[in-house]
Amino acid sequence: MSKHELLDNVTHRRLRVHTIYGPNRGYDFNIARAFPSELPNLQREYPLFFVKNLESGHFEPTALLGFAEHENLYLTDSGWDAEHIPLTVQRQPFLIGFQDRLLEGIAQQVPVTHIDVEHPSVSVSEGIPIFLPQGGESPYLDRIHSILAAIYAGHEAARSLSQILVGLELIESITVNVEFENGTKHSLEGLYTVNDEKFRGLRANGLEALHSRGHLQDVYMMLASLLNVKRLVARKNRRLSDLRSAT
Amino acid sequence: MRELAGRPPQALLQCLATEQTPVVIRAAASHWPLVQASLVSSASAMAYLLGFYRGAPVHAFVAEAQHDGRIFYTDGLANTNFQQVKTTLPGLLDRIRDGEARADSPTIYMGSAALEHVLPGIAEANSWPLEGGESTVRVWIGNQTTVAAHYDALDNLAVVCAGRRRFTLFPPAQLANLYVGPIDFTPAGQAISLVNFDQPDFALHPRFAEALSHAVTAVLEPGDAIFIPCMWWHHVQALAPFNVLINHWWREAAPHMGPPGDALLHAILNIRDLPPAHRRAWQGIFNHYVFEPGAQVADHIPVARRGPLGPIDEDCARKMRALLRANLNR
Repeated sequence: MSKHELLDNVTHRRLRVHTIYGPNRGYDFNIARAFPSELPNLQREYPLFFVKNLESGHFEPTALLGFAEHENLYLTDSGWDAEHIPLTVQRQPFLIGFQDRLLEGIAQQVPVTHIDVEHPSVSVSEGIPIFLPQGGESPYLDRIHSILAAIYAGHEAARSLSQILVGLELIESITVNVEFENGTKHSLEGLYTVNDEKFRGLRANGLEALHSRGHLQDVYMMLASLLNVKRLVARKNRRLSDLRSAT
Repeated sequence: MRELAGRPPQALLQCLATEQTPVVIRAAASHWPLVQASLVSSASAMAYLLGFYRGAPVHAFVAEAQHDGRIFYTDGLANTNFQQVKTTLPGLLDRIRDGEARADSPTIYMGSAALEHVLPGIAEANSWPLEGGESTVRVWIGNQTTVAAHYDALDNLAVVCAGRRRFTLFPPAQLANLYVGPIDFTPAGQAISLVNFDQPDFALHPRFAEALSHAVTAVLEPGDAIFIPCMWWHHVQALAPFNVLINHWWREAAPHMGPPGDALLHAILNIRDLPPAHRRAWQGIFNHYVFEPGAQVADHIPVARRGPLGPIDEDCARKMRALLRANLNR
């Protein structure tokens, strides 16, 4: 369940956010949307795919965190087991909303901060206060604002990446088949990646188009990250063997 | 109200801004193509406007007919008596056209839209270039409306381009006699007089009689301009089924200067509720440093050490802003 409200220092004056990642804390999901600026960091630890946004039709970079719907293999009892955490995870329980405003006589939509007051990390008793005693913005909220700003900027970069990859016909659907050490098999649908062969066959024009928009590196990052599928399977196997030794 | 005739040359504007008295300049803009078109028919004025439109979204206020076009609050100031809608210029003009045929049409009103944003290119032949300082040109389109008396912190040269408008102006000092409403919940950004000018209730608002004795009024026809000095209260009624106004706002202020109203809010927060003796001392301090600054403020301090007490340059303003921002955030 979630309930999004425009954040303000009167309605939400007492709210705190505990920033500890753990099971049943609102982070039990198996994919996290990612943005081009964070791909170099994420590709070292997460398998990255594209997921098609059915509303916009764009292909959005996404980190795979687990194989079943609520399985997050990076989530442990002692925190988030990775050096870099995707911005869309770090932003929780906050999100970007939009408000219609007339600024300098110009009707425009301005980004504003929303909070999911039903998020398990939000309470009046546990964690870091969002606001200072007199209603000022805490350093924690400052940090959230810069994360939301990076995400806001990331949307444009992600749109641009999707458009050029679609234009160059480099995106292909992929089925990820994995087998765990207990013999169970799993197959993931609905994921897309860059067609390696077509990418390697790109002529100067295509490469130049990717490079000039800063997306050549994004493609390399996406492709390199695929090796992490193996490491994700290893995480799953460790969980399975922990489970066995516990019983 | 003082009246002049003919086009306002730049020198006249300078002089008006210095004098700070309201003036009507008849037929000042009668040569503007928009004014010419509106003199033919409202349909031709609408067609002229649409010729410049490139699809920018606009915000408009929509109110039920029962409010007689008064952009105001509901009973008990619980809410505003209008809805804000996001529309397009053709959408706005359609609603006005629909209303023209009916006696009890809903109010539709687009206020203070940036002219060059909504109608790119129209300003060239339908506004005056203003030199120096900050300036902005806005367009106001609607049917019969009443905007309650309020002030703006800018000098204003407004031109009726279509329809008719009645302006009722009061000097800034009439503040206490106008029964001004909330400063934090306003219909369109500025605090307004709560007096119903059409049916004043002198039992409820007795001092309004005094305000009226200081009022000046004028009805403007297409092509007429009015100079509304900064901080003068103005109550504005659009009288025709289709009204267009283009106004120029400007002030001579350095780019680092923000809205004076911010300082008022800050002073209400930090000074108003001090013990009376402290407040009186601060009144003296404000007079000394802000309202009547003279040579005695800083002449005895070495120039390099005057900081905010000397002329404020950009670096000094930046430091003050950083300090204020840090102090406010607590």
